[in-house]
Amino acid sequence: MYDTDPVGSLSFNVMHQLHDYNVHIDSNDVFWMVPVEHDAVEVEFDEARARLRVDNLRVFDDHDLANSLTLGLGLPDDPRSPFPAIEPKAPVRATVSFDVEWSGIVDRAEIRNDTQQFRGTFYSTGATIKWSVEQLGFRFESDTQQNLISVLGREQNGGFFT
Amino acid sequence: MKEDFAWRKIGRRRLSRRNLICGAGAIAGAGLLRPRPVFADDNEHSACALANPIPGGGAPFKPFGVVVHHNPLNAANQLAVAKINDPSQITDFDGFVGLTNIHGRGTVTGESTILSFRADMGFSQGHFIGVDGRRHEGTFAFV
Repeated sequence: MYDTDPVGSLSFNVMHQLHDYNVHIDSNDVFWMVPVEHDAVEVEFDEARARLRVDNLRVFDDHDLANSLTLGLGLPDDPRSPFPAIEPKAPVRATVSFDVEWSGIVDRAEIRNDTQQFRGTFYSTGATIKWSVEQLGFRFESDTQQNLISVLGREQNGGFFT
Repeated sequence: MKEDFAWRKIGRRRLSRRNLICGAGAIAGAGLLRPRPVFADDNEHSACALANPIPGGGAPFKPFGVVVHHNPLNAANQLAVAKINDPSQITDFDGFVGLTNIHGRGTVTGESTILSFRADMGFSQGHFIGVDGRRHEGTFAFV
């Protein structure tokens, strides 16, 4: 979440970031994934439609992406660094609810990527999100939005890639 | 400031609460008395089947920060989805995956303040081979 639109460079965006909500990387280095109930996700793949709905998910607010990806260390005030100094921040708890929908085919492709070892059928789709967050002294609800790119896929990777 | 210093000093550990719950009990309690980074599987979302991350990704704040096993969507590929990188965060995976890059605005409740947001979110639903080498079925939100 930002005090200005997040359309600039990574450094610019981090400088203007006020909140960064995520579930953290797990101890096996899986990035920001959390198990949810099976029925939290609905997919009608042939129609290029999907929906992800979760209520009251406990997450962390790392304040900004730099603190999130340095595990709360921030970024140093170092002239050799390509990034601005970011003060260290410890995460705080928050609760988010969200309803994300993918629909409307923008593009479609069959992909086989031997380098990254993944293949499948992928749609570029339209998408909408309605979400809110609540934490101590702060509550926010989304309103307007613009989908820059959203993707829905049926894929096999790693050991399932043949 | 003290808290910041403590946060700075601690290293990343591989002992997770998930390991403690699902693994051998002999090491239960080790290291739990000092602060440490909080991992996703340290909390109430824990499940016994631990997935493996995709091998690729990047380090946005290199040389600082962790390696991120995630391929963010590039808006330039909206009309050329064939150019995307693997959108899954989990490897050894067979199933449905969704990912978004949505920008928007919203309101702080009780104030007239308008803030902007960027939502990089998604899901994975299907089968995966866990760190235990076994096949599992799971549904994950990317948050």
